[in-house]
Amino acid sequence: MLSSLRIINFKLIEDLHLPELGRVNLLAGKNNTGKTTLLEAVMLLGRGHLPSTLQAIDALLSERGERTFNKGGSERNSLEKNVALFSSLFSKRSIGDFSDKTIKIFESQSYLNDLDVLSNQRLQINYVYYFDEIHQEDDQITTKRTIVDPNQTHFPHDLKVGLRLADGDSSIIYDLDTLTRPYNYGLGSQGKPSPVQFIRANEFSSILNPSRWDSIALTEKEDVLLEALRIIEPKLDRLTYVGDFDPHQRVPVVKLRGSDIKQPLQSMGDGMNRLMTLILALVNAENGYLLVDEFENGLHFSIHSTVWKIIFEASQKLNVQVIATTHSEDCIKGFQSCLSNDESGKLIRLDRTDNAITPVYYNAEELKIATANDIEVR
Amino acid sequence: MYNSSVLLVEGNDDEHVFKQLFIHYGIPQQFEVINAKSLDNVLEQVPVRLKQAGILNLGIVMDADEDFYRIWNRVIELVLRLGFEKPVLNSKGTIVKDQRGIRLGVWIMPNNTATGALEDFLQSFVPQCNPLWGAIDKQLTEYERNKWVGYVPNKRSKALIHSWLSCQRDPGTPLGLAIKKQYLNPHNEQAQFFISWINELFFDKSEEPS
Repeated sequence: MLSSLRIINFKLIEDLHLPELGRVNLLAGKNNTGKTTLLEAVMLLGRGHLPSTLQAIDALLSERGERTFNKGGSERNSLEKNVALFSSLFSKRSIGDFSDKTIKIFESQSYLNDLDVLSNQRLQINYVYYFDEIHQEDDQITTKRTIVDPNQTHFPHDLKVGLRLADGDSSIIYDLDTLTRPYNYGLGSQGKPSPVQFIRANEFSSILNPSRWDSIALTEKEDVLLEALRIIEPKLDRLTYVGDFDPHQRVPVVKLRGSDIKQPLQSMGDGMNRLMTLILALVNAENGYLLVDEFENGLHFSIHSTVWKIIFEASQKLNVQVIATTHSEDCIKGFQSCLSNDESGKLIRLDRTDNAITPVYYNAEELKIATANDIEVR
Repeated sequence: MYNSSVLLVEGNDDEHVFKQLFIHYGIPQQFEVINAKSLDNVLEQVPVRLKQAGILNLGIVMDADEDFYRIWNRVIELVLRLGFEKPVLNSKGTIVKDQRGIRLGVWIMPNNTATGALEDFLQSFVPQCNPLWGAIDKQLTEYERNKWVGYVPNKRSKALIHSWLSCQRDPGTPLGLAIKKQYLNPHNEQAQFFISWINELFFDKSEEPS
């Protein structure tokens, strides 16, 4: 759980500091204030496991149709093209520029000193020049990637370009020439990644849903899911995934009370599908993060309070930190209705002036006054 | 822009009286008049409205009611807490700025110095030498002496003005409409001070209106 967040040089965020984060956070703000970018930054930081973070970067760039890992085959990109693939991660860079800046995403309560890191939750990304040093110890041959200071005069002849990811304990360097998965270098053990579930704005159903279902079927979490879906369809009796319709893809089917028919969830509208995806992701994010862009999409205004109530309750039980963005007044009202009972929620609006992004916080009391008097908070 | 300039008032009568005044003085409808329905609600909305993106000017109008200094002190405390410069008592209304350049205006009825309410402010709208007005005043005094009246002393100005209105061409005309019908004459010095305050707050104009 992040208590605060600082993002530097990442996509359209040059320097943003959120001094506080609650367990459930709702972000508002005009278009282009960096809300989605903030979610993406948390996605990268939240994994807490560098190889998984690299995969997350791959997923991020895939959203734009770029592929990063070398998937095999004879075609290889030029080094320039590979460098260009990652340049979009850095702020204020045109595609293809080798950035000398470092992306930093970390938990920090102090704004003044960006080295003041209170926990290991930190991530740094930058381009490096390096070479492979081969060491022989007893019978073991190990390869170490050593970073080269770009200011020195003598360069080894097999100089390479890489993307370096570092957290508090260790770092990995991704070879941009061959794009092969990196070895794990570093002092500490890598540990396991924390779950990070990201729901995009336009994601109503997700290809991840069948495996999300598999993780929770026959557990208490299945009940949380069904209870949520009953907000929209109270007659929902049972749900499962089947491969009847399409051999390549398992789909959810439901049975309603009083009927024997197995109905595909797909036919029950965007709301059901979106809710399914949201809650499946939520219950799969235990001890991790749920990130939702444009929370309101697909959901009728009347169900926002109930959906938020489920989010607040489940996130507390399962220790999930939730960060969602919204443009919707109804979504904010629904969120507000849960706040009076639960102080661990925060509404934060991002304001952009010139190139600086400033967060404006509303506490539970202020949000209550705002919704009671129709005062705009977005 | 939505809600970038707002005038928060305590009640229905305030809302309608001011709207009529603005029409009479040709004030452009470039700010929103919002009825907060109570004094506490006016004050509690201030910090939240000041957080709004794009807020430029916020004005609040409250009745001094029983104790002018009690209200004034609440205002000072709020204004300072929100990071504005210290407000200075001014019979023509108070306006303060913060570092973002946002203007916060405060007007305490009737005239930023005395105890009273909207209805005291409106007394300036009645020609004081009018025989009907004088007679009503005398009558009310007599009713009070006989203890026939139900109102408490600080509501006297309400009794006075509504009694005046009950004797006009359309008896029972409410305050705002009474201005439109000229039962209350908006062309007076007190109204002009108020309009100057509005002009300075919302339009950054410092001259006296005609």
